[in-house]
Amino acid sequence: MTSPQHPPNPPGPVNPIAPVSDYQHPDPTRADPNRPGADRPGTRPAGPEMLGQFVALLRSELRKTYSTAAWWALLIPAALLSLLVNLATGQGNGLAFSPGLGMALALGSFSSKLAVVYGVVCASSEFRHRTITTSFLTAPGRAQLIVAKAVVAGLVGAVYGAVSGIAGILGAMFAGGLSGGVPENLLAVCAVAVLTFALWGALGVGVATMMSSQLAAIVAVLVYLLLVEQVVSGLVSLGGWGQIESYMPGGAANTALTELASEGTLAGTLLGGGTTPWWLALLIFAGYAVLAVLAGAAIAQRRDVT
Amino acid sequence: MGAVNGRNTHDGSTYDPRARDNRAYDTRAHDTRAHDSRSHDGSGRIVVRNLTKRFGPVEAVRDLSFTVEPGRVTGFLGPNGAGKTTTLRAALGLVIPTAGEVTINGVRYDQLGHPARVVGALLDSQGFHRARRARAHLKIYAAAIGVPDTRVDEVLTVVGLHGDGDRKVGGYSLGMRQRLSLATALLGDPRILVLDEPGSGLDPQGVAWLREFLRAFAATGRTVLVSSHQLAEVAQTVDHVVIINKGRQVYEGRLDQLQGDGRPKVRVLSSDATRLATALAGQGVTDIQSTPDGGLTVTGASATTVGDTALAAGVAIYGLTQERADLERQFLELTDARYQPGASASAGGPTGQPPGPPAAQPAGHPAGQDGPLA
Repeated sequence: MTSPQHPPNPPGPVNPIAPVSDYQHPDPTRADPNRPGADRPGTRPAGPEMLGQFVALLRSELRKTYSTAAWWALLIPAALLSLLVNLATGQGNGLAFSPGLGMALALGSFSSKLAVVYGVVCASSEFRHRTITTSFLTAPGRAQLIVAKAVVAGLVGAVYGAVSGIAGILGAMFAGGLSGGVPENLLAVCAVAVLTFALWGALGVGVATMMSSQLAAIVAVLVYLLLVEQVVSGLVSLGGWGQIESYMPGGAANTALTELASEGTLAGTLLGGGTTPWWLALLIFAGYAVLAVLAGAAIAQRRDVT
Repeated sequence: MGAVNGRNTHDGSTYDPRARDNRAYDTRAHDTRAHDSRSHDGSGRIVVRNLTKRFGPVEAVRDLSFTVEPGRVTGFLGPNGAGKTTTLRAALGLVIPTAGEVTINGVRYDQLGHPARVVGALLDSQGFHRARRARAHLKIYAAAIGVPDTRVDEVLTVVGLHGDGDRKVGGYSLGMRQRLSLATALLGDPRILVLDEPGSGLDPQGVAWLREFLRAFAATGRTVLVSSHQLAEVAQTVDHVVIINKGRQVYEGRLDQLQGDGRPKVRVLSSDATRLATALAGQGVTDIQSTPDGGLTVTGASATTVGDTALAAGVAIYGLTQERADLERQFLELTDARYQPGASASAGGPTGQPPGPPAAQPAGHPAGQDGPLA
């Protein structure tokens, strides 16, 4: 994107404001915006142009993504976690744990956290570095910007899912659990992981936009996923009010993976299988992600940017 | 420490008109916009209408109205905390007014459609990701605005950062960041420029350069609204000023008409200030104030009158200077903390100093003065 070796100072005059030859009085007749047809009559775009503006925002968000290190810095631990967990589960107990369940555990309980953290980081860094002002100023609307951001974070999340899946397969192979080839349900888990990770990325953008403080958003998301949700669903279960885990955001995402992994397997039968089919869990989770993005966009719309 | 030394070869205007040559993106915009009814009028006019903004209990701006016309540089002056930043941010749709509205080209900012192609804004010099290279930063917003990447090099050249485009912004000096902010504002080749305290962080050469730039920009019929808390910083740049204090307007008009009541002021240093004052009072001159150095400031009398009176009273004169009621003084009076904008209208309003130091005033926004948020 940029050539890092560019010399800080070109030869010749030391950084003049502009080459002397460029110094001209602006030609009033040429630059006069009052001359007929000179300036652009601006309008509120509609239809195809709105789509074009959204595509422009997507390009802008992609450039934001690859011009900083966050996306790969968080991808490395995601892939490593998947590799190690699959290595451990594959080696630990080949019979009780199918490779698919090992994969579901690795991706759902470990790597996916980094996808949501990425979503949070990419959105909240705009507030932290105060680039959000320029981002809002250059976008046709705040909501469009947040949605574009969520879409791009979703793309990055999908990459996280794919890379983590591949790393996990490698881990399972090293552990010797895949001697008979890669099972179909393991590949299916990886494919659904690409979807859930994409949704995690978008959800992270929504949550971060609601909260706008980077640290608070990261802590809140992790505390919720690792603690609050377990405690709440545990208490509800203890109180005899039923199993709500797969209807909560983190639980739904995990359910989608584990249900898919355990379908038709011995382990799945032994574990009792949930009552929520994987696709329903995935839909529920998608609902949460969309809700988070819409709430973030709505809050961004009303908030004063100071 | 910056590689840009603020060195300036300005032999006249510094705005590079060639930057406007690349209009491929504009032409396309023309075609699609012709049939939209909600178009802005392209006038380049900013209209602030009865703007009021409260942040919780703090009223940052109160019933403010003024118009910024194209073709000239309008200064927006007031002390810190007067509500300048709030007003500018309200104009740019970043702050939602409690009451009133600000329109640009006849519509609200969020109705402009391609806002950054109409208005360029320089709000604070901290809005950068430190790890990004300047060129990457500009490319991000070039993409969002929908202008070709070639525009990035154009604006880098305009602000004199061309050789530093591949450096990370974290290594930039404050002045360089200001330039990069300006470059960002210029990406969309806007018709209107809004700048909030653009001089802060610039060295004297940078300020001079910016002055020339803004004048050249306005001379092409475009609009410049520039805020400052220092009159001196913009006195040579602006044609028109809007002065606010405590969220309310205290003056709007030509800068050269901000001359106060036109009464002459004479500063006199004498052997006996008391006797001179008494003698002057005998002449009907009563607006006399003593100065810390033991002298007097006499308002409403010429130097001749003061000198003659002193001679008649037998007071020796050591120094006698006729002062114009200068802009700076007038500005300071208007923006004095004790000055009550519209005091007559607000019966029962506070008459003295607000409690506490000036920091207790409605501090609209500390923007641009916070430390970098790392």
